[in-house]
Amino acid sequence: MADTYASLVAESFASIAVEAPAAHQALTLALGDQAIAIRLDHEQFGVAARPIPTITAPAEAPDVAIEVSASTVRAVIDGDLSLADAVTNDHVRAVGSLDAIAQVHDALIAYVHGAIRSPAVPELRTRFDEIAGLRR
Amino acid sequence: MTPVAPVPAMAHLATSDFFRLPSQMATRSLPYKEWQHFVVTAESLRFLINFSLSVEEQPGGVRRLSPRVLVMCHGASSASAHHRGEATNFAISNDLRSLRVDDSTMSIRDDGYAVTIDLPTHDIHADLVFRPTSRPFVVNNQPVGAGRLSWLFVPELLASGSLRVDGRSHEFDEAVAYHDHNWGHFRWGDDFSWMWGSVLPERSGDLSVVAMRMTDRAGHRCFAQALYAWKDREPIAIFRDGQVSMRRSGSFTHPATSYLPPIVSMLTPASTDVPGVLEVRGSSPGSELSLRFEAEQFSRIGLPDEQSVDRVVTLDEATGPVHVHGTIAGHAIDANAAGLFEFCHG
Repeated sequence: MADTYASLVAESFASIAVEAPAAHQALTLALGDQAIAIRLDHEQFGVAARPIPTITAPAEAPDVAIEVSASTVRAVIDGDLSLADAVTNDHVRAVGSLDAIAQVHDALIAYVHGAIRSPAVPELRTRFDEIAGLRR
Repeated sequence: MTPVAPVPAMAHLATSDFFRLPSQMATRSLPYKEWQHFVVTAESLRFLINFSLSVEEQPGGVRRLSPRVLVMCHGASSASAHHRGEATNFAISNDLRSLRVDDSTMSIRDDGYAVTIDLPTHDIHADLVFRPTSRPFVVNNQPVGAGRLSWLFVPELLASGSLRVDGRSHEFDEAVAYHDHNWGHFRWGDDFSWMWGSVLPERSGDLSVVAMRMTDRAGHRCFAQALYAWKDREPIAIFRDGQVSMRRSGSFTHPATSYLPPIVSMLTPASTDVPGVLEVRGSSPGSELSLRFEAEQFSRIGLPDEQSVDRVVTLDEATGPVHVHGTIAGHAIDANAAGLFEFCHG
């Protein structure tokens, strides 16, 4: 089955759970009860935290709705664009209460800590670029 | 090119440098790490090449040996690259003198080191030989938190061959180089920090210096410090512990020019452990040597903290000019050189 952004995020959750379980637990705690809706290029999906981080259909009334392009995700991953600059320059749009957005930010940081501890994640990054047509 | 006389140091190298490997991988409580590090200075650039092996702890008590090859280039506009090898795609020779990671190899030969790097996705290729012109120096079992770290360094080598990185090809014809090899059992994130500086001359045989300091994480308690100097490829001074004083002035305020891996920029503060100026002084009866390092830029390597899932350990690789002066056994020393100082914040 062809990769989608959602399937890659799901795989990364699974890899982190197996290869960096402590980081996965921290991610789960950081997400709390948030329902997140993500629009990444033309793809839409949701992230729910309970009982473990899972990909879902986007919730009708998410706590936080995020819109971002694959090229922005790549620029942030590559260190070419800081997350703060991406947000302040509207390359990332996050809609929700301040508390909810702050919680999602903490969850994102926990996710990255898990990703750098998971040997399987770099290969997912290559597949991400292939979906986006951004292969290096 | 000035002819260099045959150096008996090579005989020492053949017997003293080899991959140590985790001989007690399954039984030691602390994970094993080993890395071979090379610095080449040429064309006003500093090239770093690093082959590493580390035992990573997996759930269920499983430990896997993970290799990496890292190449960095420091210049007027810094650039860098990073590669993580797959754990299954590497090999160590039976004589413990050669490591292959994917299509890159590092070998210890009777006459020096051979390095080939082929990282096509990063457009990095190297075919280099490093011929030592000075004898290796070994220090064993220095404390790093609850663990121990040993190292061997060769203060001066001559690098020849080619390296392509950042879209440019560089040819070296006996460029001055430095090598260190480190191994031990410890955890990143334990209560330690270190500073390790290598000062290389432009011309082989001129003054070269190594300075090191091992401390607790906060830098308050020093476990070991030293200042070593060589001239004409022979050691001329060694200052240790109480003979050495170090002074940091200010903080280097510019952001890192690059991060390895790049995503680490999200996980570490913009502030740095790199001082604006670092002064190191060694003194003993009849001899005194001082160096002043002024950072110009730094790259940051981030390593997962092995004790806490919400921290990374930073290795800041700072480059800049060094001025060394003093008197060794009645001979005046006054030299300018290129410095590469690593600040590990544990």
